[in-house]
Amino acid sequence: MNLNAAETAQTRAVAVDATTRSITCSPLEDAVRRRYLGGSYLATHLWLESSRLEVDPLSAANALVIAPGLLTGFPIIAANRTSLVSKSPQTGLLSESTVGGFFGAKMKAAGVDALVIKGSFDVPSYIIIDGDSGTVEVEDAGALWGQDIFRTFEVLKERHGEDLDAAVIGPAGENGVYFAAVIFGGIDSRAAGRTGMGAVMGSKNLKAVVVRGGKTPKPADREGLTQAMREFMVQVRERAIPWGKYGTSGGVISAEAIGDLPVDNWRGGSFPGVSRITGQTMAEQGMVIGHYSCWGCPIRCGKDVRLGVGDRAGQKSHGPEYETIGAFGSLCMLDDPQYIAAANDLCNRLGLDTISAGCAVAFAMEAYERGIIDDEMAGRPLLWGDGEAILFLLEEIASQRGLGGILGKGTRIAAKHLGPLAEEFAIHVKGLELPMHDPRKYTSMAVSYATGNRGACHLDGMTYYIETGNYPKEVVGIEADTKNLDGKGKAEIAVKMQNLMDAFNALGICKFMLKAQLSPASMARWVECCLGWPCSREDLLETGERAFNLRRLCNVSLGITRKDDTLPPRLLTHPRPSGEAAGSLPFLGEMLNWYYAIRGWDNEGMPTLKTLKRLDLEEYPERLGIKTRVLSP
Amino acid sequence: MRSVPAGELKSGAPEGVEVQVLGHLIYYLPPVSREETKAVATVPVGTALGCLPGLLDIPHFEIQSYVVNGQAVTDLSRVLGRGDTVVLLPVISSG
Repeated sequence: MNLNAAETAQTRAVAVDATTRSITCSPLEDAVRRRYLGGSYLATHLWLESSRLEVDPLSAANALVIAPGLLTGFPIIAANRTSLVSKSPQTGLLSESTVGGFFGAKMKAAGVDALVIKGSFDVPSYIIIDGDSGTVEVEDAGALWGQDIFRTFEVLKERHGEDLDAAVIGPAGENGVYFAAVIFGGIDSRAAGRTGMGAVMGSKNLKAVVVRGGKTPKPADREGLTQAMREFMVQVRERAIPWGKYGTSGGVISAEAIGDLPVDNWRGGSFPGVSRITGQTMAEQGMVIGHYSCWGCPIRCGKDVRLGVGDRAGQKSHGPEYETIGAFGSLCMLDDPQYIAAANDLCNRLGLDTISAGCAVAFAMEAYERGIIDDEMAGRPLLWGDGEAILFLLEEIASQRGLGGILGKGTRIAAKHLGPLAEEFAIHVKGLELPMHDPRKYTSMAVSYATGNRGACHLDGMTYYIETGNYPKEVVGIEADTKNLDGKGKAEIAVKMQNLMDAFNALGICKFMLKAQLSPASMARWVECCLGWPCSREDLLETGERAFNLRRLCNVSLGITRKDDTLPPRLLTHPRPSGEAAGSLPFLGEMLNWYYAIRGWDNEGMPTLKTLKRLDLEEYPERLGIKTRVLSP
Repeated sequence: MRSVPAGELKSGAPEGVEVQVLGHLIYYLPPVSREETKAVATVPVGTALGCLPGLLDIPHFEIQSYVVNGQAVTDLSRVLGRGDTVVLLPVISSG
């Protein structure tokens, strides 16, 4: 297929029907572009045009949409995110996973704003988008199937040149692990980790999507954009670049100090070994051997480490980040950074989401402690803090062997296999395991997790930036007194930060720019400079709100109501026993009442018709099979 | 725990106010070992809370809250007196 077929269009979507191997390229209408922008929001729209919500997530009928953000690829600081949208095997919901790196910028350079993959290949295959030749083709991946991600990436570079990037799955995705990740960038890994998009690719016999060549898009107002970047760089230099020294791993010690870092499968309060697993310690010990960035980012939060244990000991790998250190470290009571790095490396090679994988391991360790799992079932002892046990379980999960076959479905399903007692310590929301920020510390995160459209997701809200005063509340219109927050105030923070985060997702900007206090007003100016469209702060925040409500409507169509907007019982009833957050519990019910009221939803968590009208989403209930009579006026 | 001097007073000076620094904030103070999770500095009696970042060379935006004698204090003009103890809590700096 020749991309030049749509040469006259400014933007285009490529659709690959894997079953028939037909490839089509069509322009994206201007009205669609302006309404849905890009990234997650555009991908959600395109998915809804391609699939039905009731599809089996691992069937050919479930489309996968890959879309860079609207601003991704332009010469903008940290505008590099790409969204993958599909129905998740892990949650059963229409979900998304986003990733940084270079892939999205290369897609834009190749002239592709969205890739829609429908159907399923009859044999293992990969898609290559070549911006230089203007072609999209399907190649045989028979020799790559079964290979790990790093090896696959190297082979693809040997075949197609060094300047490519690729979205690759490993054995976990091929074997249908429900939290299989898609890994980009090879050893310099960036992961679309959450919600099992790797399994969706695997179900399509799709080993990889490769992109190379083309030209960086030109902004409509280069001078204006340069000036805007110069101004924003002042904030980045002061607040964000120093943070790149250790990357996200540098925050582990602080998270533990303030009671935010989960410990012992969410039972603990303090982790005595924390100082041994921080980014600072890894740097001191000489584990960190380099730094790397995503497209257009001066922070360089990515770390290269030299592995000390495991089957790749002595070799370079991507260093574990905050979430991974929490998941395999404090959550599993492991205080050896070498084993955490090895677990991270293994996940990146096999294609596993490190958050869900770490949570699954911690869940198994608690089940073993309680005698629900024995040595025979586990294949070996599963003692807290045992790095070898973690590496063993990761291999078992990716290959779906033994206990791994159960854990690989996620803790929600695994708990159902193991019995009612196990459900008590399966820590997830809507099937998605919690990330490493404790909602008993910053309790606005409780309502943000509970209402997150893809399940428990810190990136859906990042409300702790407001609670800690690390991001100015005024720029997103938060009226609450953040120094004296009640349930209403916390709900307001959650609503407004979720809206902002969906705007970030649509534009493709890294959320770590919150650290540099990036405002929606600045983002709107960037849209004007890049696209030449009028855009305001209010436009962006409303787009974020509209995107969030559309995803909620999809969830409502799939049966999600207030009963699902909750947290695991452990986090609602068991306070942390020690540390800075000791004794604190979130009052979720009160916050949820306020949250629904502020959103304009009814008491069951369904958007009202009035809200849908205000957001110009009236067409969707019927399209999504929701009877309007069940919606309040 | 490591005790480090700050301002013109030496660590443990009787006129000083003890300031505990937690989390990644310890790395703004003189080197600490990787076994440590907190550091202690001493500042002169009469120091205003708002002067602590400058005195300890910690960026103000990295401090989430100032806890004086167990209570979070938002009035940064608060002057520290003899016998006060201060804890500086870090902002989340992770993903």
